[in-house]
Amino acid sequence: MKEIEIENELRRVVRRLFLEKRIDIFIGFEDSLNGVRPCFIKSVDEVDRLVWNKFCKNNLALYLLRFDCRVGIVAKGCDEGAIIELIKENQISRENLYIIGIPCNGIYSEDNKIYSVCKTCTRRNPLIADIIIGELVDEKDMTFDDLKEIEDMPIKDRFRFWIREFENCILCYACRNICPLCYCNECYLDRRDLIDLRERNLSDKIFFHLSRAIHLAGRCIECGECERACPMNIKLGKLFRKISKEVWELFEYKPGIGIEDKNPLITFDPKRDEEL
Amino acid sequence: MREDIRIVGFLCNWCSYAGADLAGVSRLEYPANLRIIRVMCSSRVDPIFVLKAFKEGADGVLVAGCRLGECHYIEGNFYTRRRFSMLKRILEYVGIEKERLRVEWISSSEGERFRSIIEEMTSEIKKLGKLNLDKYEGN
Amino acid sequence: MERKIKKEEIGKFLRRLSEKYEVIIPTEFNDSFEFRVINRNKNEIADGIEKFSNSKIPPKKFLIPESEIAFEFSEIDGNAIIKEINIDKRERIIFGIRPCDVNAILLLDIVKKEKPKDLSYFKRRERTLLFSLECNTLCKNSFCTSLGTGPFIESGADLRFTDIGDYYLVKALTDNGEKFLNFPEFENADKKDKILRDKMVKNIDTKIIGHEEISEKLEEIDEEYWDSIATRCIECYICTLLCPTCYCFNVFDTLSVFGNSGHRIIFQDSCMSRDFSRLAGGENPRRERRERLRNRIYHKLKYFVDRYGRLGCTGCGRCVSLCPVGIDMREFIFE
Repeated sequence: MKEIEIENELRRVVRRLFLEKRIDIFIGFEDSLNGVRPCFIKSVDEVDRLVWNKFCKNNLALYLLRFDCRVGIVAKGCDEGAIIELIKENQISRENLYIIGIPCNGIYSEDNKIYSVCKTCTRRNPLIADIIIGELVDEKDMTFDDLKEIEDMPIKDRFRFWIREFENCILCYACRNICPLCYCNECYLDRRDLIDLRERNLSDKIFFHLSRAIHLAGRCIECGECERACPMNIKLGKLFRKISKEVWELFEYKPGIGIEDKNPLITFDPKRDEEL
Repeated sequence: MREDIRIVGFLCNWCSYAGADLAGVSRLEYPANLRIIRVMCSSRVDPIFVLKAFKEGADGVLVAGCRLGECHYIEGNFYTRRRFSMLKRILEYVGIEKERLRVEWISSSEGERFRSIIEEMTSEIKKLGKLNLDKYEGN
Repeated sequence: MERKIKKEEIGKFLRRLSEKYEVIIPTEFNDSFEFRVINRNKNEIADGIEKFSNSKIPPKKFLIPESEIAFEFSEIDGNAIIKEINIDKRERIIFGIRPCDVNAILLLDIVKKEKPKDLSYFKRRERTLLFSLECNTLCKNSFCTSLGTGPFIESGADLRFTDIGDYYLVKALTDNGEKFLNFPEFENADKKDKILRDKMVKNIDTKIIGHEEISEKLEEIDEEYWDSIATRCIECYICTLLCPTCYCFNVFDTLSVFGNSGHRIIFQDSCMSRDFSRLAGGENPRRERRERLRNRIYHKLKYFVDRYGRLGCTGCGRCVSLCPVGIDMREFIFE
């Protein structure tokens, strides 16, 4: 199916959902002067605003927590992964949700380059969607070869590399706020005894990113939103993919797949853990 | 500029802290670089505590709990083990040597072992040098 | 006086300046340009400046640092002693600053002049010379042509550089700038060069929208529209931290462990933060995201006009291109 056909089909399905009164609001994408952006459809007359193409970069699961009604959502693989994690953590309920899954072949930036996290994505097809639009695509094998470059550096170079990255951070909090899984109302990163906005030291920036990384271990679904949102182009994708890699290698677990799966960091298995 | 390295130790109340106590009572001498913070269980230690310690100028962090299976809260240190093996790998990935974070299981009768661990750790970290996250010198 | 300088000579000119001044130029870094102090030992001064459109971090950071110590205080024998902090003494030249950012600095001048005058700002400002570089191509998402803040500039900067092919046409816009034109790298400009620039100015179609018009239209926006935009907003601080005209700050006193000395820090703050307008006791006049977002837009497009008769936005387009969820300043101005 071509993009335009998917788009038409999407509009048709959403229109029907509104007419059958199955949803109160629909979260999708619309066009704007500056590319595609998220939009919220409230009635059937607005459905024609919806678009679908390969530039729909945002992870819409972020917005699910902002509505307390029956919501419809269009979801790529990574959006759906985030939805699964949110359901697991009791943030949203599946009953109030209508998921339109669209198999995804990768998202492109405005200059028509595929985003780096999409190159290694292994979560392209919808798993829990109510309806799937478009043909399923082939899943790639899981690989972490893209991290080799950094992992093979001597430790001093690695430190230098990350310091160079983190020192550009302006502590704008975009990576935290755009993350669909950073939903805490009271976040420790807003505590000024932990992150000191007064002096904006390098150590604060390192702390910011490392502590976020450890918080998202076993939860990060590698949608790459943090890297895309970062105004200073910090290679956050490389940090968070490393976490996914470790979770996979240590516990053979991948978040965002099964609703029944348990995050390995909130459980344990004495036998298996002996080699840790 | 401070000369000596600093190690922050998070010791569990029931075993490791008692172990450190035993080392003291038995008049065992160990390097004075360790600053001890007592916690009720090693699983009380959030990885963020460790990162904060590094941020505030610690050169090494020790997290110590009861021996596995002997936790006062039955299973606390099993969580600790998973959590910190994860953190260690992340630290190593960003170029902070994994020797700087040490997770040990020390029971309350192991005063001698406590001493040897601290000695070992101190000498290891002295070799690595200080960790200064605030100012990075070099190219 | 108008003169010109060969493009190859620019590096030499800047190096000569850096003997006496602290010269700040856009340097290429991670696929984009940022303003940095020149490293005199390096040869690649002003390389690739052709590719430079604008920096992500606005050059206001050299006038309003992210954080600075205002003064130190201590108590000795019951007397309070205040020690002022000396600000970097060297004179600075910001080369390559774009017209929109020059206009932004002029706006900051107006704001900071209000009582109480921001002394540390003016200490820096008085020592800073602006060598503006006019834009040959418009940046993506910029709308300076509609606000009259670019891509050309007639006043505000000290020197004005215009790219006219192999040469930069240089004009001094202030007396301070005049003296630099005697440098040996400059040649006399003839009429042809001036005509080249005039042609460029004519080719850009500017449709300047009146300030009053914008601020009046702003009030017609209904609640529903604000709601829909606020639902999309993720309240990060990108738009405020990287805005060339945002100047909100916070003040904090830090005490030493013994409580008898300390220092006062002034640091950049963002009105998009929930804590920004929170009062003692927890009351918050702008508790909702929508209220904070509206405040930001109103401040730029209305409060500025009401107080100073100018828009608080220079149309540089930074907030538009960098917003991760596509909140667009242009919508408030044009629609």
